[in-house]
Amino acid sequence: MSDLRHSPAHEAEADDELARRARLGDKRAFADLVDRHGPVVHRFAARLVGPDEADDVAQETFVTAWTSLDRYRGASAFRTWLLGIAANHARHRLRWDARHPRGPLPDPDEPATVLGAHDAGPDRRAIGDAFVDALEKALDELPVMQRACWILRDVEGLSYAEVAEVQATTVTAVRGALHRARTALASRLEPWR
Amino acid sequence: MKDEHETVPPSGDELLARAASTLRALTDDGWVRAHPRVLERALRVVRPARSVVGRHAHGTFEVAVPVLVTRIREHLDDIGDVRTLKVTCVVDDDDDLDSVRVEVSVAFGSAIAAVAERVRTEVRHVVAAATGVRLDADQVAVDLMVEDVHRPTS
Repeated sequence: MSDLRHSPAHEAEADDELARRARLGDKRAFADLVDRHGPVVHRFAARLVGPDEADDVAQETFVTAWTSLDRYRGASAFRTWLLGIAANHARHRLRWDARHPRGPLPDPDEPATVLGAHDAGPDRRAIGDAFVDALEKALDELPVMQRACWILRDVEGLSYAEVAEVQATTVTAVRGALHRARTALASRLEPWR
Repeated sequence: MKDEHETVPPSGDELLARAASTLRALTDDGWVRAHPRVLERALRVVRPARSVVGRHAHGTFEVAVPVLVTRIREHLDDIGDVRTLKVTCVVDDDDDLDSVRVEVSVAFGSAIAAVAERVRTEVRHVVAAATGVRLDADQVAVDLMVEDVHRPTS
């Protein structure tokens, strides 16, 4: 028997209720929202900017959420709204890093901005699987847009419309990016078939 | 490199499904480590807001609007069958509190007039306690929304 308390509709209602209370200054409600969505926000950030900067992006995301809750009207799922904020901060950070390289200048022909996402030490070691190494390397080699679309759609289970909202683009563009991401990943993971 | 338990090579779709489920299964060590700092930092950030002038026997003081809103919300939460949706403090150019608009929802079947009056009384009481300013009844507007299903707030 399915548990209605954990259905997507019920989860969304719970989020809206917590957001309503947090908007009115209830810090406990906001802490609950952080608990509920922190893992996905941090995971998404880590895949975009790398583990070293994921903490900062997650922090910036929740600071923005706390100070901007008045702008959340419930038109989209709270998780989608949060991931949109995270994507903005990640894009900003990637642009900044591209303009202010800390090491040798990157080769402009490189496919994507790679900030060591595959060096996720504890997370990856916990699995201890060579497949994870290959997967993370393959993900790092994807352009950021494709990587984000694949993570949001295939890993986190967002709808095409939600991915488009997070990425501030169209559903058509998401479908295209996702198709290219899946093709590239399948090709790079071919040895594991 | 292949999983030794696999007898049939996975298709491209199965491979991608395995990749996605592998990422979902990764532990959230990074988040567990970052969580306390992220929450503490976020809640330390002060929301940009105006203040209202409070008055007492020895002079005036300022109360940030979010503080007042939080106080109002806490008191209205104690009223059964009421869910506060929004509290708006209207402040004039001199930072004096001009009026308060409260949007609440009540469960279908509630005594609407009585609830509205209770809300209005509570708001006036909270404002007076927090700022020393006594609002007239017509300075507190209560917008009521009646809902079919009224879920508990906790």
